[in-house]
Amino acid sequence: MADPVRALLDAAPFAARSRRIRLLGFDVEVRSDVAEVVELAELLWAPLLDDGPADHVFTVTVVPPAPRSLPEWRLHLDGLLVVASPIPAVVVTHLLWEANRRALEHTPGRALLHAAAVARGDRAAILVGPQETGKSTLAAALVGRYGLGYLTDEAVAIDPATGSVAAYPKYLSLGSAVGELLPELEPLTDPRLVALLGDLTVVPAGTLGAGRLAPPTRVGAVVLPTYVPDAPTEVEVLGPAAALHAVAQHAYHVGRDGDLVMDALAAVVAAVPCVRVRGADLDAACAVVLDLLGGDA
Amino acid sequence: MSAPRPVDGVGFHQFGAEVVLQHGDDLHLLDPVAAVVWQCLDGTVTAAGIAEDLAPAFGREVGALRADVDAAIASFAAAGLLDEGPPPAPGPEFLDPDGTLFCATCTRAPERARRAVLRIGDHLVVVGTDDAAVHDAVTAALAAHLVRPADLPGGAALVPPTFSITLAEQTPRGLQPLHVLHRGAPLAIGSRRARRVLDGLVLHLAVHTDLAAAGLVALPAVAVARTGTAPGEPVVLVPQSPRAAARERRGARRGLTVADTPVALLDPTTGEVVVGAPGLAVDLGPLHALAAAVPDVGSEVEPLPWGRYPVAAIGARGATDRTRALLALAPPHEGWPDAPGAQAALVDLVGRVEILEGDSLG
Repeated sequence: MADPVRALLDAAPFAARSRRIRLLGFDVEVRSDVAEVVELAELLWAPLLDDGPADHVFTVTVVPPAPRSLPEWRLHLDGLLVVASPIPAVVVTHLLWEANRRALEHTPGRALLHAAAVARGDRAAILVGPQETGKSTLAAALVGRYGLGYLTDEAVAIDPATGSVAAYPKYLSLGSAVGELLPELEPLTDPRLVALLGDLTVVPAGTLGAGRLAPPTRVGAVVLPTYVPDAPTEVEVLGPAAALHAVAQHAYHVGRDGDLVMDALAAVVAAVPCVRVRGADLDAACAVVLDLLGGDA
Repeated sequence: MSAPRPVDGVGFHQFGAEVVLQHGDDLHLLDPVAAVVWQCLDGTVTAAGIAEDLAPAFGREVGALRADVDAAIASFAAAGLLDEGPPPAPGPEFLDPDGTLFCATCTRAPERARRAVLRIGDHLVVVGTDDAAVHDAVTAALAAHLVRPADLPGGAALVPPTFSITLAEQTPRGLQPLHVLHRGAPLAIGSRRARRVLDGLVLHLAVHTDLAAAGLVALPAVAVARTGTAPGEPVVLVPQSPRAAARERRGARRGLTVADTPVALLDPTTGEVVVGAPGLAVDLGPLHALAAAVPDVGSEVEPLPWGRYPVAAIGARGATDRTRALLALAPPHEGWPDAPGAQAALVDLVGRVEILEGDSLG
């Protein structure tokens, strides 16, 4: 952000201003005319807050309505427009999405995967797959029901030098049925804040319980889950070539940082077991992960 | 292909007999035969030679293995993994009428009977019309930008018009249709005067020229001024509005007029807004001759004439201070030409001009 832009943003009054949020390599703070927006951001990213100066600033502002019109909510990043809408949830969910995207773009030197990760002791399982395959739900069950440590539900960043997964304990983003499926979890219910999220159901990582946030942990297993309604649980062990091919499909920046990403992932799949798990039974899938990590179901 | 050679930049990861190749964002899992074939490709060995070399190792007849080698090489070629000579030079791409600069809908424009393809800046732009006179005027006015059919890329005929012009015919009674300019499917300008639509096409095209070469930046704003304002006299910048026509009518009732530009072109060195087409090689004569031959279908306020205007103020709803003025006119973070440059110019501008809370057109 250019200094003159920062000076203008610093000069303006906002109803609330967050602490610095450290999203992997992307530091940002949130300022808003609506205090609940900042309250929500600090709640969802609570484990990632500190008090240093942020490199970037999201602003969520509300423009008074024109005659016969609604107020317009606007999201800017470093003074450039991201989205504008009369619907608050559109703007706030865009803030969450954009923050995560920036985290992925501003984390050089790591192999980044669209994946969840949990830890048991000194070994992490990364749960890789596209949207809606159940990786977040599986991660939530392993943390909420089986007591594993939480690393992330969205973006796995692997350090090529150590093979460890960075801790990126953002909120868990889950389906609306999570309350029935995993009563152990505490989705956000405060109506003032839920109203800002539209259909999104989130579990703040800070509500997972003391000791549930894992430090950076070496990868001990790779699991590619696929939720298939009414199907029995099937486990397929992948060889390293098939595993690398499958896992790298979900990597970011393969074209840009091909050597770094592929070398890091190749080292992982050559060193740890990699399996596909298909089926409908969440506890059975959890048992597979626990077995791979050397724990008891 | 006699002696295939891999392209540069293919990542190679071997696990026993299997291999994963990475080329750009593409990944390829090779079976043992394909993996060995890949490692034999060096630009000197033919498919037949590879089959002969590998047959003993795989315990197969050369003829039978040759089919697998050919299949592997064909799959490498199809995946763009083989060097097949220099790629064709990249040409300009068609301007996306639904691009983020003006996106209002994802619906594409309907096809038109006559099309002119123009090269504007880095883009190809299709201007469609059903009217031969409009087509002739557009091609004459913008002849310097016209792309010959022989120079068009494949599939150009399938690209829908970026801009479409329809000049209305007068009806004896009842509602008079407007002359209209569409960008993609959405309406860009509707007017009772043909000249305004024809000039509007040029103003819209000008946004896609090399603005940096003209010393300009684009802001998502529009210039407004008192009716009768001439070049050199002050204007106010206000944010773009999705309901521009209604705002223009309200402004007209208050004695205000608006520039017909889709964005505000700002000269950062002078703080002036340019209404016109500084980056285009255009002869307005054919367009104005056509406009003079088409009767107006009513009267309306004149848009701001072409010229350069000093910006005296920024007016925006909620602009209670300079920061809010900056945010009100901020360019989008993606899909906007030189957004950082535009933002820097805007920062400078908000520090120098008056800030008015509430846009001047109500």
